[in-house]
Amino acid sequence: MRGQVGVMFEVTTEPLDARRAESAVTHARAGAISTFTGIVRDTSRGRTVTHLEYEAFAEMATAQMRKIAAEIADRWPETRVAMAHRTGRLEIGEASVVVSVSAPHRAAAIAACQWGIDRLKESVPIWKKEHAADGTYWIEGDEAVKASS
Amino acid sequence: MESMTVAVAIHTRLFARLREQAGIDAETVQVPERSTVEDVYAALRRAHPALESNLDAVRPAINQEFSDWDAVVGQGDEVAFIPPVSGGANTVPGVPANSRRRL
Repeated sequence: MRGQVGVMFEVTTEPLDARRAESAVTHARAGAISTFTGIVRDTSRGRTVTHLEYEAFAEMATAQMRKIAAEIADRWPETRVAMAHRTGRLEIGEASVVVSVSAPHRAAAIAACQWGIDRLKESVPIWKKEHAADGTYWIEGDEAVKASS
Repeated sequence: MESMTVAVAIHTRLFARLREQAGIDAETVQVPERSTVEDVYAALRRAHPALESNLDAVRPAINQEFSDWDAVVGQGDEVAFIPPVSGGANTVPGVPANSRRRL
């Protein structure tokens, strides 16, 4: 049902829990759940990364997440979607983003999850600041722009 | 005397690199009635000259919806200026590329 498509949209400074997102999309007619978890890695563009900072326009970010969930529902019937993004300082190995989609069958769950994380990355107003060995950079699309602090 | 120009108050918000360039994350600006989002950004740039001058590198949003640069703002609107996000090429469906210009 359309009203149940989006079940969890969060922007939070707390550590993310992929299992909680999966629990949110689980229901009796869902035979498959696909979950994507984005993790902070220690290198980027050939530089050593010490940690990341994420900044969000939180109210708009959760509104955009809801829109993406509605788009998923239009493309893949009977899906449920949960999305969570962390903000603030994140260390190497921590989860920055979780997208979980349930569907009756696996093909739809996997395709919808991939589409959901791609859309999130291009349209949800959350920014990544990379603290690297040689300075601090805002990551804007394919560009890394030196930050002032 | 000419009729007075009516000013409207627009609540602007800046994020990430734009926030750092301006040194503020929010500011209320007064602009004439029927001003566009581009006029609002120009007013902000007059107050904060370090702000990005390339409009291709900024996306506006009115009341949390992405908008065109020539969208007209009204009293009390919240206008956010949004730098490109990490995974995007600064393209959003519904916002045609030819709506973006340079100041």
